[in-house]
Amino acid sequence: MTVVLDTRFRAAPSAEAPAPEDHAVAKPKPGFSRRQALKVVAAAAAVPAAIVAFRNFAPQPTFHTWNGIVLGGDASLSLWHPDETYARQIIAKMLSEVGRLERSFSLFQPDSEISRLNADGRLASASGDFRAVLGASLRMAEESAGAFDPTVQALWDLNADYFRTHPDGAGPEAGAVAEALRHVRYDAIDLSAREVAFAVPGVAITLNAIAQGYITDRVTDLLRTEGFDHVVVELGEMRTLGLHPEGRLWRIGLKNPADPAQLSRTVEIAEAAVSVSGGYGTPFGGENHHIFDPRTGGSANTLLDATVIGPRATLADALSTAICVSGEAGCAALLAANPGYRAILTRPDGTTAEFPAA
Amino acid sequence: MNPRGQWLGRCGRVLALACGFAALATIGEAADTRHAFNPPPLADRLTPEVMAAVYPGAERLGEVEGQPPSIAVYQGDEIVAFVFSTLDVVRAPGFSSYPFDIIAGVTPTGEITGAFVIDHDEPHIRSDRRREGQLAEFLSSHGGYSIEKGGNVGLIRPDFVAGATVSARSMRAAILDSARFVLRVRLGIEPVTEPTLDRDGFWPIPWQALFDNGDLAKLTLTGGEVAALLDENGLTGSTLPRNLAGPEDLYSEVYVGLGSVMAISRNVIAALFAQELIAGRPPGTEAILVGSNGRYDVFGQAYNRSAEGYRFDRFAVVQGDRSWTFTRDDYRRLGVNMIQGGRMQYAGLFLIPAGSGFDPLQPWRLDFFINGTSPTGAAFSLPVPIEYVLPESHVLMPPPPPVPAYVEAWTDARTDIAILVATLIVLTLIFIFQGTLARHRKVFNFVRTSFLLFTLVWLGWTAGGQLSTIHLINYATAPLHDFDVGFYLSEPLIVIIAGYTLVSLIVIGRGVFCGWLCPFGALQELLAKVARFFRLPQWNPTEAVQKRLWVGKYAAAVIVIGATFATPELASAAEEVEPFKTAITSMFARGWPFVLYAIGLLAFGLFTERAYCRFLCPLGGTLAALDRLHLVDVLKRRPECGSPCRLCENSCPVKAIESSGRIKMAECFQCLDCQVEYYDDHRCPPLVKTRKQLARALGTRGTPIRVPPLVPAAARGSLA
Repeated sequence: MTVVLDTRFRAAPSAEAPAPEDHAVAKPKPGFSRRQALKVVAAAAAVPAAIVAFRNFAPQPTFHTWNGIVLGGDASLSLWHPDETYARQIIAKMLSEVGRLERSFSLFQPDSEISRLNADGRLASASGDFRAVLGASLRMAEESAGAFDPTVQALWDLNADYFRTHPDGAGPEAGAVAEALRHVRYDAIDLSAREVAFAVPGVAITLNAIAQGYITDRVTDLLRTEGFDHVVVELGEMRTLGLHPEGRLWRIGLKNPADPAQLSRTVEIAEAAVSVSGGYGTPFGGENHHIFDPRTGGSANTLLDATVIGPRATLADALSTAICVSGEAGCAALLAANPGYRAILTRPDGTTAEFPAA
Repeated sequence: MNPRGQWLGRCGRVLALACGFAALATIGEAADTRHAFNPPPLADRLTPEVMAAVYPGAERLGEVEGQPPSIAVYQGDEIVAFVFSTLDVVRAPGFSSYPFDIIAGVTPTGEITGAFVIDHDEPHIRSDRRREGQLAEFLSSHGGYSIEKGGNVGLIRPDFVAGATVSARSMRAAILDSARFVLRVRLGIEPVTEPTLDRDGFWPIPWQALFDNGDLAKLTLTGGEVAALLDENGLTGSTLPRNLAGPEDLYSEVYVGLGSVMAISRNVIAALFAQELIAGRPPGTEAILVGSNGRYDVFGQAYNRSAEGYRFDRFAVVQGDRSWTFTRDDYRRLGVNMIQGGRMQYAGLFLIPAGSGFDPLQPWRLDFFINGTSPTGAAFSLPVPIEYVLPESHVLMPPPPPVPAYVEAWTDARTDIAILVATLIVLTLIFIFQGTLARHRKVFNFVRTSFLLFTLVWLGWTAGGQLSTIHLINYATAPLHDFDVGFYLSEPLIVIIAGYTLVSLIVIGRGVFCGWLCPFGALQELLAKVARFFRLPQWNPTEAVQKRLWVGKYAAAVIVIGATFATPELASAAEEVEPFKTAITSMFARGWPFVLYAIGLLAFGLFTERAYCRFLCPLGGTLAALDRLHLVDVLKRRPECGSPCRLCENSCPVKAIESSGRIKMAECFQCLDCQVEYYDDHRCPPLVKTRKQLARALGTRGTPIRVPPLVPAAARGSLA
């Protein structure tokens, strides 16, 4: 029987309606008795004790991992959770989100937003995600004075065509590069209206230097909202949530750009994103690879790779590409403009430099 | 001996004889321990001697993998070759029809690395030292031979193995075919974008299965059947190249198949490299496999005569309105010893050039002509069609579009879905028959406690079906986001509960979810029951204070919903107001700050029932705000409720009944405790009064009475 301390909620005795006969309402006592105080303390202590016991009895959390391919690269999700069914369902949920974003950013899909924009030079109603990523690209292009440029797709097409027919060649001719460079100009992208359009015909964009970071961020943010505390997301870029379940920092191995099968060093991060850009990722042949310097039209070779660590993968992704192109000289300014991000650069001779200097 | 005994005796002898044969047959089976019928595992066959011939200097061997099986040879971490056994892959018989076993290797780029015969029964090679040596030399000369491009310098021709050319040929064919089939499996098949003829796929198909599948079509004509055919066509008494013999005698037997499909031709042609017969023709060349037995075979002799243009005059291939006839140049002869079991006396492959309009994926037919001269002296060609439809197993289909991940979630969860649907049916029945149920206090208490336990232990902890504000926000903002439909459908139980909650919210109110289907709510209420059992002191705010505290959950709802439109970090932080993930989804396996928060709320709930639900829950706040829309008031009231009687107000565990007697539906959890009081004629004062009046009038005490007619809440007249 509930003991009600508040007299307002007591049944008012009434002549017509006598107090119920077989259930006597206990009379409230003025204040706590010692007995009651003991009960309260015991009950309040019993709850944590019971829950600690329950924690040991309940299924123990473990990493639930998914491996696959996103935007043409290896991808994985690792979620620390006691309930496998729940983790699998959430992974399925995340994959539907990844699939949707791929339909915006994938150059492999002929009907993706980016493919349609490249084919038609205009996109009547771009999705919010597409505008967000394109907008972030243009901001990074401004910040890096053109070292980061989403319109380098013309150079990619030129090189891909060249090396398909000349696997051992030295690279496309200077004339062809100059011709392609006429279409490398991010100022040709008009994002001001509802319709996204290129002001110059023949311009084509790639968002591969930023879209993976964006997808990584989207999924990581959603996973946090779904209540996962220890998460590693690798969807082209890496981002972690919380600490490692053992209570330590996450240890992330960085590949040795001179020998990508080996790790050169390990960085320790708490909740952060790590993005690495380096020419060794997609080599064409010789000195040529997929990171182009929009100012020369050749591949950016002033650094072997640039690793950027910071809170969000979108920005880390764009920054690592921008720094890889602009080199050690432009690094400090780019990081100063984006507080919270740090960089580790590998010079061509194999030595490394850290920004901001430790 | 009487006849019966004789009969028994005969039976016994027959039985004994049969047993004897059976035993002999069994011994025969067991006795065949020859290598081909009982080979050791592939790994055991790769002795150092074998490996020295197949891949000298192999660093490391992998496991047996794939179907057909093979073993990878490693140099460091790199696979440099696959080693296989022809017996395991094509089981090709040699000249003796006993399948030989050759271990060979092929590089990933398709070059043979070496070969070693470990078992054979070739009569012309067996126990002939010189020929054994020649065979080994012949096979080893194939090191570097490309299965795509063919020969290399120094390649020895099969006739080098003197007197055993057939054996050598079939061994080489078996090696090359096996290598092709192994590579196909190990290196993966290029994905196709449209239905494509599977030329190179291979798997063993038993002879009878070739006909059952439709890989081969067969026509059999007896003398009688041919005579009947002639009669039907008014050609009775015609002269035929071969006489009909007896009506039951075989006149013609014709086999037809698509020979460019290795899985068909390689299972018919036992001892030759089928690909070799088509080699040199442009890709897209098709080969029709034709075989024949009988007095009048499908080949005839016309193809040997220049006067007839070396043309085969007894058949044509027809597809649609096009037809193909063949000359000697299109013909690749297959000797009877090349055919499995020698089942076709005459056989060959007939090539149809690429680009001639023949579509191997479409049905076609072979018209077999019965040639002859009619009694009037006119020559005729009577066609007997053999229809051929390529079985689907030889067509590579483009991969079906991948099944969305959420579909899998629904199939995987079908047991849970069934349990949940049953649970929701039970809950619906509880609400439909709540009047009856509430009349029985003990039964009702049992049903309610059991249901809450089930909600907590199964729905919450086992199935992870805890609805949360984030789900509601996701659903509500769906039109704003362009999330994929799979994003919403990935959690089947949540989808179903959300749907049920929406309907019950509109019909009855928020209490159906909050009071019955929320696992954390159930956990709190069960703890409150424990607290009551131990008579823990209870604290409840005054009515005025409580009204202010109620605002807390609306504020929480506004904060959580607002945060989702700010940054994701803020949203997930605000979300943590809900202890659901900690206490239900993660079963307290989270960091201590989260666990301590949940413990605090639960401990508080011991002294103030459902304190979290009433004052803090953003999900409850959202649902309570929407509760104003509900259509039906199911909870019964009397005019006396509130004034003068305050029994229900007192017994309501969450104090959702105002002192006026009105139930504040937005705060009601539909626990139905007030309905139990309502029907209790020993507790509900108006009922007690009526019961006593009735008892006095009847002159008896304690006689059970019927509950008076129900009065809806709106009708505030006096009780009749």
